[in-house]
Amino acid sequence: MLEKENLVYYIKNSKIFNETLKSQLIIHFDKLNEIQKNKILDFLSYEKYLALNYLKSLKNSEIISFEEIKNNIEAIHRNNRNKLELEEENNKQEELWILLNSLDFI
Amino acid sequence: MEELKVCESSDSIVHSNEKQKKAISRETDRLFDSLNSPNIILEDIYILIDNLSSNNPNFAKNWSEFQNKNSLILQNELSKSSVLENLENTESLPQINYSKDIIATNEKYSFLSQYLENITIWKWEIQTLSHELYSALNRYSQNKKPLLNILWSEEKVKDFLDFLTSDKWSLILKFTQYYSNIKVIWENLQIVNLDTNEPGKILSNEILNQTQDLAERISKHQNTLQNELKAQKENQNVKWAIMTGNYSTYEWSNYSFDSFEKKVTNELYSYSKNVFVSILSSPWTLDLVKSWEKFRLPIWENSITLDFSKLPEWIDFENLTDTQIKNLTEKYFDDVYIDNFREKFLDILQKLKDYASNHPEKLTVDVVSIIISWLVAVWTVAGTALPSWWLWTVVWVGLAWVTFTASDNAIRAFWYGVIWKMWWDEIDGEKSFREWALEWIWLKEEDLNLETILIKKWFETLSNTVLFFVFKWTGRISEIWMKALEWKWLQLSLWNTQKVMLEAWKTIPESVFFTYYGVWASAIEDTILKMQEENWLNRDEAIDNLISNLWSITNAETFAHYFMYNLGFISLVKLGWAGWQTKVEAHLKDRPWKVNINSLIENSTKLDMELLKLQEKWYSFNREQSGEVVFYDKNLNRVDVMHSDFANLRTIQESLMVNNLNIQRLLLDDFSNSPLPNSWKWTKAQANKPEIQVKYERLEKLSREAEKQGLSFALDKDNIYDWVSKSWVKEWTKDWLLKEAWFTNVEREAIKKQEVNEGSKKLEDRAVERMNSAVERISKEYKDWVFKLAQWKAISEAFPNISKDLLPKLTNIILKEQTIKKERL
Repeated sequence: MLEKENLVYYIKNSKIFNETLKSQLIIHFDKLNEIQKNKILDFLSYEKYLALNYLKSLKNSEIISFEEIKNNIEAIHRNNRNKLELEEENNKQEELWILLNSLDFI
Repeated sequence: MEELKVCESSDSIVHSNEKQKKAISRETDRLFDSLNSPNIILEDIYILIDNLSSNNPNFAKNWSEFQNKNSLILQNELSKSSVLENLENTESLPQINYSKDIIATNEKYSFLSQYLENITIWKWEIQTLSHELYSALNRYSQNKKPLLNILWSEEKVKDFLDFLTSDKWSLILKFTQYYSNIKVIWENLQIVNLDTNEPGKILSNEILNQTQDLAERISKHQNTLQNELKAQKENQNVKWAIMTGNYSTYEWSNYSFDSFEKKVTNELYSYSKNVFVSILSSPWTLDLVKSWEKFRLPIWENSITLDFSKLPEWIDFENLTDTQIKNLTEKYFDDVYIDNFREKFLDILQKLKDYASNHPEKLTVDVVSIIISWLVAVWTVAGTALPSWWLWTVVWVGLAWVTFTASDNAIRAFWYGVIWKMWWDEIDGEKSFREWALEWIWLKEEDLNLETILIKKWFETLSNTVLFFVFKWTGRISEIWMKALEWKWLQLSLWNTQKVMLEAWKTIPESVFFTYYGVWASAIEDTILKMQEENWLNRDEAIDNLISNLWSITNAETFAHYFMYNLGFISLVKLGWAGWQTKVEAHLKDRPWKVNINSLIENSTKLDMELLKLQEKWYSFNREQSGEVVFYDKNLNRVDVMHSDFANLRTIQESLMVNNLNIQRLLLDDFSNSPLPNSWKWTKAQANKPEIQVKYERLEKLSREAEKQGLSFALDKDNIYDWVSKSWVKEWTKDWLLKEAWFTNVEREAIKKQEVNEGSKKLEDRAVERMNSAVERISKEYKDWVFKLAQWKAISEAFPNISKDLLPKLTNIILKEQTIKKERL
């Protein structure tokens, strides 16, 4: 079982429950038994899966337009690519720096 | 030809549209599939959701519903887990799902309501039986008579077992009570054993034989109980057979009290625990048994139950009284909601602070108004002489300023009233402002016709204020609001209703709104009542929304105004009270019996002190008697509550017998139809009972008569204890005033003749003499009454959860005891 602080942290940052339940869980955390805590943990470990499924369920609905979802998802991919590129750049620089430091200038 | 071209072109448009749709669909699939990429982490998804939520209200609403749904699922899971854990720990014990059985039958509600109605009576019966058992054993230890004949007569055993097997659905409850009773038997056997100064040693053969005989008799009659249990739950491994059928085969020669006690306790505890865990899967029923102080299980201490959706399936609200519901909900919700209240309170403080910083000028007006209100209130209450002229000038200027800067009708109405009163009041016992104006300023009598205009204006504005006071001060809204908070029954549908009403409030001017205040209050109340029949979901959220929205409407500005109303109202009432008091005092100044009333009231206070001393004596006596009867909880720790109850009962019974009080008359004639204290509230049905109505009307009449004579007794329907205790005060006050103090017409004529003929004392002197003797006699009667009341109070305090049904029962038991005692003597 995770430590209390960790589980409370996960509950706080989770978005798949409403705020009322989250606050109730945090306030009464000490009253929960182990089984109950494990149940919460189970839920949280499926969080990404639940959130993804939820988004997919909106695929053919009229709640979000194609353009809207397209822009947002592409923005995420773009950000991820940028992040990767930045990471690669940093890695290269790091390697270069290490290489330079390793040269023995006499 | 042209038409053909047009058709072709339209076909191609349709075709291209379909192609476009398919392309978009494919693109959409591709987009959503791309979310499965391992590079997409949870934070990315939430960023996506946040973006969509902030730009698209429909999505935000849908996402919120999704969150609520997940929350509900988790709540359900947690609620189940609160009992599952304990079930898993109970190894091979029988799993009984009473809840399903109960719901499956048509009797599901009758069980619960019967449980509620009868639990105290059953407790009482068990206690009575235990008491008899105890007395018998005690007598045995003193007289060394054969145990069985004293302990259980044939009839008594049959009664007891019939009682145990009389009701199908109360089986579990009775079983556990039976367990308590058996514990009492063993405790008392131990007492007998202790008489030999050999604790823990095998009991004498004589006692063992008799006990075995008793056990066989019990086991014989217990077959019904056992069969009934078996019929209800097939394949269960009932481990308590030792209690019901196997006494005769138990090896008594190897008897060891400790091992037997331990075995019985463990078996019964495990079995009962399992049964309770099964039957109490709902938080409501959990709470019911939680109130049963004798038998506490550890699961109740650690469980958290967030699932309210099961409640309507379990409780028949139509058959539960308001008091029962309130008592149940109070205990359950206390710890969960206290944090919310604190947050709300802090929120209110913050809003007040914001208000003060945003509306400094308006706040100044309010603060000055409040200060002046208090000044006036203090002045009227203190009843001191009017302040000096310079202070009066300050007050007048302040009043004028507040009156004409106040934006609210009600505030102005109040100050019109104050000004009007001051205009007519004499200052320093000399002249009023009105007279002063006539005499010294330019005004003439005819000019004062302006007064008519002013008073019209006053009444016009006051009428709105009065309406406000009527509805505000009856407290209906606050009462309903508090009920709603206590019960936590507000839900989404109610919230919608409230929202509509509150929106309407914004559009209605305050003065008009007050007129309809009562209508709105009724509507809210009806909504709350109807709510019981509806779904119970989203309750917490509804409460939060309701509180925040109510507050946003009843903002700090309105709050400040209401504060003003309250102060103004208090001042006005105190003003009127001071004037009325002066008149009453003047009226009573020459009445000789006023002195007697005072002495009587003083005497009452002394007797009340005696009552307190008497109670204290009883309790100390009870404490001295402790140590004879001991009850144990699940861990075999002594339970003091039961013990003290038991000792109290015995002491009170003895006290009652010794003092030879007519307790039956007291209880049956005077109080059996009256509701009792201890948070008892009148339901409509009870209040409308003819006998209660008659009694209440009679008391109201007496109250009015007493008030005419200068006595003031507020008749408070809600506080029954006060009502009862004051009712008899009124009773004898009335007797004294109407029957004893004054002469009848015939007597009056006779005395007058005597005065003329013999020159004897005057009629008035004789009346005073007669009254003094009446006071003496009634004081003595009053003392008896106080003593009787003390008995009654002691009973109700010794058994805080006593129900009204128990008092007649108590009477019967006491009378029975008296009869038995007389017969023996």
